[in-house]
Amino acid sequence: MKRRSTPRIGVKGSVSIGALAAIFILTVFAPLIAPFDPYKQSLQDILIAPLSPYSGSGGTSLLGTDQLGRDVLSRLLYGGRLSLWISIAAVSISGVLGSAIGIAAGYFGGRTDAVLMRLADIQLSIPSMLLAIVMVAVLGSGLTNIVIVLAVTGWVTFARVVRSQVLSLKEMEYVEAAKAMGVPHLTVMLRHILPNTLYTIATQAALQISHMILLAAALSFLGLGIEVSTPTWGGMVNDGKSYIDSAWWLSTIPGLAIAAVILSINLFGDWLRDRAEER
Amino acid sequence: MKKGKFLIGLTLLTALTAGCSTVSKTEPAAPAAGSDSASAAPAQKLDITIGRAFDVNGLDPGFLTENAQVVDNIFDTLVKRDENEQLVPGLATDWKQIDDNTWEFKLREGVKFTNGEPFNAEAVKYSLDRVLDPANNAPTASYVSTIKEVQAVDDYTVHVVTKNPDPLIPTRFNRYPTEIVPPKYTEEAGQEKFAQEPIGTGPYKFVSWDKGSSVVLEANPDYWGEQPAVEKVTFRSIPEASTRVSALLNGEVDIVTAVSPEDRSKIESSSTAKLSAVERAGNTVYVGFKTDVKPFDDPKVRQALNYAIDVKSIVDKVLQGSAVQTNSLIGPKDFGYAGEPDGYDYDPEKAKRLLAEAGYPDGFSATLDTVSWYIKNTDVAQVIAEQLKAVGVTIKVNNVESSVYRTLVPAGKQSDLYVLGWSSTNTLDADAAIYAILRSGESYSTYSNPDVDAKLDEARSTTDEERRKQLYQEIQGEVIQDAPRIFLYQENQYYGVSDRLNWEGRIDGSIPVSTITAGAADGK
Amino acid sequence: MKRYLLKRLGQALLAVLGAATIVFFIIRLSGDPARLMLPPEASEEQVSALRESLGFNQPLWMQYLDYLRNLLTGDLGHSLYYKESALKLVLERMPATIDLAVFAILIAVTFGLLAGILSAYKKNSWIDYIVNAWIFLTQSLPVFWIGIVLIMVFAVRLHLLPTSGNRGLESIVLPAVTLAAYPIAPIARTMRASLLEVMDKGYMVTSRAQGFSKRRRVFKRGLKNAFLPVITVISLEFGVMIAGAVVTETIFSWPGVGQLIIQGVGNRDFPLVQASILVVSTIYIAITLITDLIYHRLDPRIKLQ
Repeated sequence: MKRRSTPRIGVKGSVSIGALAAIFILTVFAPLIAPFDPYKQSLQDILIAPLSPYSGSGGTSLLGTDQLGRDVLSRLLYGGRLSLWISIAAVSISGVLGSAIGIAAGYFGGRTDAVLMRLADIQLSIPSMLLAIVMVAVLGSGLTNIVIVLAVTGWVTFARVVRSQVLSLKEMEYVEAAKAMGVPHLTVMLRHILPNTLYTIATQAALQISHMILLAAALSFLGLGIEVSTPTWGGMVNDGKSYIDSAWWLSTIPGLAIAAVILSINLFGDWLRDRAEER
Repeated sequence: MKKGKFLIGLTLLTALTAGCSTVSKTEPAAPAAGSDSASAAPAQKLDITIGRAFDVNGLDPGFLTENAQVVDNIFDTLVKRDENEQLVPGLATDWKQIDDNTWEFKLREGVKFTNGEPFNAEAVKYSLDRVLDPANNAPTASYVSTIKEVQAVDDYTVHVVTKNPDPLIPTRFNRYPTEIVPPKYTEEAGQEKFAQEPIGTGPYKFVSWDKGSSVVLEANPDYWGEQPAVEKVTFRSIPEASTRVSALLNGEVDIVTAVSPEDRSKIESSSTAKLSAVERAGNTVYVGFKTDVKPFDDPKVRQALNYAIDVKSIVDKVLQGSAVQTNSLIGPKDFGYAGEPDGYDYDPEKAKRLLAEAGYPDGFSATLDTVSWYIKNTDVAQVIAEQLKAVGVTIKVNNVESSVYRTLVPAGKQSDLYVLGWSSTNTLDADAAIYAILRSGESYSTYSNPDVDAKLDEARSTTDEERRKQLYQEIQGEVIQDAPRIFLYQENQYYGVSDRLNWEGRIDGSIPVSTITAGAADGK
Repeated sequence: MKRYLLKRLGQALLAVLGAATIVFFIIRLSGDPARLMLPPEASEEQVSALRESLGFNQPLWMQYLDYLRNLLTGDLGHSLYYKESALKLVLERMPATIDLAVFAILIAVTFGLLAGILSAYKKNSWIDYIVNAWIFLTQSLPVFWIGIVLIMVFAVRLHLLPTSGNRGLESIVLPAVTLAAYPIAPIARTMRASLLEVMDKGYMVTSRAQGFSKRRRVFKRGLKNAFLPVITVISLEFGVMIAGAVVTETIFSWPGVGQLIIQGVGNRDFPLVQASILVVSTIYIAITLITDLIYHRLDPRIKLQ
């Protein structure tokens, strides 16, 4: 801020902000933008390739149709909403929880660290499929349940990575100084430790988004969560599994959409970081 | 065993006379040998690999928790099926019913297990007894639960005594768990070892089992039947359907099971393999109603939903012809099949009218459970939902995880509408195809009709074939009228077979390796 | 050091017991194996007879006490389906799993570190962008997509490699590449982030005044510290490969523990699942311990406590 009053947005900034804004608008306003009803089946138009015309009603299918003749573009637009919502919710919960656990474990060390990290070990060794099946058997399916399973399986990564960074951060002079001056632990963690781990947390969060989108679909396959006809990116990717060489667009297009999102999020994160550097 | 020597002369005599009995026309020839095997046999011995979706859990036919595709090559049953699915002699040369509750089997003489143990009536009794013993908890004991006792009359004569008259005894002795095991070895080895190193009388003997990967068998040189063309066979487990087909196309395996409908064209267009389609070898798939729950307790509602579904377009478009539309409860190769009955045409207007008559002019909402056991199950369920929407019925489709579904349905905890498929599996009899899903009180049945119940019970306990046929026809007519389900289709099954081999898939899902012969392309 | 290791061993035992206990109870919440073991035609009486003979009709706490008692004697029970020692079944599958995981992690680490270092040093260049686009693409395409496409290209079209199975070195290539595809992104991104941290952060500035040698030392220390998160990510990914390579194993019919666990869960083969979780949690705890030792090695100020 000292050097420039208005930091340059640059290519990275404009591209990532533009892309994220576009994704936001396209998915939120999907009902206005989508060319067709994403649920509308058309058994005459099963698996038609991108840029081919529909048989009856006329019109062109820009990204082709799926195995029930539904418009892939429309499903892609609608599907983004649920996929992004679920993954962002799950990543936020697991990110906050995991980072808090990681900071506490790394900062206090000793018994706290031992207990929390062994908990992480236990968590890792329980297969998420088992958790999902238990959820279905006990609570039944539902969006909340799927977010819970995702968050429960996701926190360990945050906790471990953040802890590893805190281990070295807490040996820094300024942290030691603050501690020596009697600054309360919570203040030290929030003031001096957390800010230095934010970029790491953001990096992990961005990486987890795509993981969660795909895992959510895998869990829905087990009957946990989303109704089968509801379009989600992960679900579309799964639907295309049997058609990878006969109808490539089914899996590949939603896969590309997921890639575009996490690429933009990462670019945006990088840009924020670069900006912070410039200050 | 003690009376054995004394009776040899007598049994030889009975065996000889048995040879000309009515059932055993094809006597000593192995039912396995195809008509053209004579010319193929002298060629070099084949070493083949079969790619299946699962590895075995164990190789003890009495305690299987899966189908008997592999073990049926190591063991023999008393009764076998030929390529036309007719019952023919196996280890028994002849069988007949001697009174209401007793069947007599005459056993083949001179057969030995691959460890040298003799095959005789004691072996048959032992094999059945260990399955029937409640203490052993054999998983498939229900397949033989009508049997009260097996008596070894002499070395080569067995009497099977049933609790009630059971017309299906010969069929039951064609199917696991009635494979014959060697008593001495089985006893010595114990259950755990026997399941890993089985010994039988079959055309192949066990060589090795690499858990999670493959089972290897080789031809039994002392087999009582004809020597097969295949010398060595490896059953490989390849769980992913598309990988199985890729392995076939890449020449790594020679036969693959459970080819998914999308992969059919890959095999058909291949220059090294061919597709073997077995029409209606799979499950008859339907949407079951909980007929005691509103609004499905009203036959009009159930009929209306039948009229609302365009089964033909589901079969043609969604399933791409990988199933056959049918209203028949019974498969075409099953005993009791009586042709294709008329059912409900696609008529959404009539559906709406019936719904209105039943008091639902504006339709209603319901949940439809489906499960991955059936071809494109979620796609089919979604199309059904869309077609029902057109008559005002709003459906939420719920895809249930397989193992959860298998506990939900018998407990009656599935949704009011649920997809289920059933078949006679390898008994090829109407009883297995419908009893468990139509008889009230059965765990997979959500239907209750006293008249149908009575007929089902009678049909499973009378040995009069004509009467049974008639009963099944009546049951079918009544059930179609009463519509406890939405009638859909019966699935086909597909196999991929390398051009170097000659083999066609079978309706009972078995893979008798001894029927596989060298194909035209083998000499290339 | 010795005391530390002993302490960790004690913790490890507790954690393994914790995992075993949790799995013991939650898998019993998920349903009943008796129904699944019998064919659908089986009657309710048969189901309850089987349940009784398996001991699953007893109160949970009694089953648990039995389990603990057997655990103490090293008996993990027999698989309900395979009818043999559950532990033996799991251990038989371990070599294949470890082969695959080691190959895959080597590939992932090599490419991940390379991509991370490259994109950090060439920050905001085209190389940075291309490397990132590529790794995110591999991360966004599901494992089965990558696996099936690799099989189609390298086995069916080019006939270079086998489609599946565990037979020799050439059969491990495709599954290892498939399994490695996903972790490349986290490794590379974490590497990049950490490196930038070190390169940009105050080390250079603060130590300028203190002379070159000190600066070098500080930088080196910074670099080592930067590796901590990367090592953490690698160890986490390696753990996932050991226990959770289910999709890769299924697609390439690789006979590893992942498939065994999933099969066990699907069948509610309680002893088998419990035994495999015991083995897997032990491996996880060992990996964590090794990771912590590496931390200490890289930065001796991180105490082993």
